[in-house]
Amino acid sequence: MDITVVFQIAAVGILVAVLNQVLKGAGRDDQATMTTLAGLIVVLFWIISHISDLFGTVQNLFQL
Amino acid sequence: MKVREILKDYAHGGLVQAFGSCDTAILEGAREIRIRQGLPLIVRGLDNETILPYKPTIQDISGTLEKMANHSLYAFDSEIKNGFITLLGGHRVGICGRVVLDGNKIKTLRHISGLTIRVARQVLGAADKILPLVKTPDKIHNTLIISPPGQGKTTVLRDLVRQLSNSGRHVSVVDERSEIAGSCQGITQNDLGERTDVLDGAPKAEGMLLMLRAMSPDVIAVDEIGGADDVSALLSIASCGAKIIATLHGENMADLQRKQSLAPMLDNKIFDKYIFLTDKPTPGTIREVVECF
Amino acid sequence: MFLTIIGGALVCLSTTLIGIYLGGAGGRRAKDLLEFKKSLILLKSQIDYAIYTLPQAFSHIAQRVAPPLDNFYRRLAEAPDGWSDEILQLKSNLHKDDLVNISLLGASLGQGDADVQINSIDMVLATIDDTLGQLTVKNKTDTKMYRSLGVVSGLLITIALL
Repeated sequence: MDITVVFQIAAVGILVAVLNQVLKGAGRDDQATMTTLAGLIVVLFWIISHISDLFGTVQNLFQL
Repeated sequence: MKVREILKDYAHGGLVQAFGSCDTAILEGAREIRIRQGLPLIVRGLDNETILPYKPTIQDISGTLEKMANHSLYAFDSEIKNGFITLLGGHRVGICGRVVLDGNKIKTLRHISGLTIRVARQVLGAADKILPLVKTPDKIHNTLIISPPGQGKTTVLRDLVRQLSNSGRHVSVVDERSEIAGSCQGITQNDLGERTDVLDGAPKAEGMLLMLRAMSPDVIAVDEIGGADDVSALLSIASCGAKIIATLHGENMADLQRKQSLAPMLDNKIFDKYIFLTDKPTPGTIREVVECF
Repeated sequence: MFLTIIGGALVCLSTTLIGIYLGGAGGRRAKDLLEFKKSLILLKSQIDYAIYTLPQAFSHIAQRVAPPLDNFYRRLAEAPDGWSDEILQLKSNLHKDDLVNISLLGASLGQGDADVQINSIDMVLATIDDTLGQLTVKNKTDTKMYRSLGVVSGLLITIALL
């Protein structure tokens, strides 16, 4: 597993938080919520394969 | 070509076609064009009348008037209040319609129902026969030109002004109805000579005194005097050194003596010469000259 | 590796620039509105004080305003009754709403007496003033917001594509 992913996810998290603040500050709450959701979906998209790997690994581990 | 050009610029709606299909010779000989709502168009020439079958609608007329006013009717407010508008070229358009009153005075005209276009034709030389009567070698005489309406007074006055102006006299014209100079938006449309100033649209009495003070004229020219105000203004001017050329509606000397308001004018012998015009054989012909020194 | 950094920097730069441009839209609209307001005040004085006809008034104004308004007024001087059409075709930073509001003036221009003209112009001026007031408040937050948006989205994209 590539450690870069962790940093990527972290960076996305920070940036989404910043965007959230900026948009909320400008009064555009609905758009703030949208970007948070979008960030969440992108990150999920990244790690969905890793999660399925994780479950696979756990399954293998406990069937042993 | 002149009349057709004018009509092309200003005609609106059905009038465009109506005038477009009219014979050029008839249009060019026109003195007057009468446009009445719901009635056939009439083009009047020197001694004839041509009736065009088209009957204008209210929209035709109001659209035409708008074009004549350059889409800025507000700028012609005072003219419309007086019942006319002067076009580029000096043509006067009489306006008829529903009057809007402000108390007892006319505020403006609405729902224009008729337009009468008087085609301006300056006749150079109309005053040729009169000039030697007015301007003798020693001096210029205060002259009153008298005739019934439509017999050439204004045309003669216009040319007289031009000839006096070109011969070295400074002339001030008080043009209450914009007829002498035919000014449109401040630009004189007729040739009035090299030394002429025009006061456009001012009431005669005030206008005469204003020009006397402001322009130091040798001669003051004014059209259609008649009221008591005009006469008292004339009295003031006569004693100030400027010469006066004026016109008056009337037929003969008896007419003048009948009008009460003119009595001071006659008694004080303001005018040296009274020139009576007639329209036979042509408008502007001298019928009689009465000298009064 | 180096290429990635350059690529990333380029992306960030472009999104930031886009952000700054979008943030300036409100300011540009305000500037154009102000120019137009000035031209309308000129029109008022031409009609009220000098009582010029519309073609004369328009050509005078054309000489005293900046593009694109000068061409606009010059074209109007030729065809004074085309106010509404010309307005809706005007290429500027003005909003559709602004243009529609101004085009309403066309109905009363040239009709009625000087007072009517002045009142109509005053009405349009009042609406413009309102809009300008709202814009000054909105622009303050908007410019900052769009700038930050530009920077952050640039970073996001870079990181997402890394």
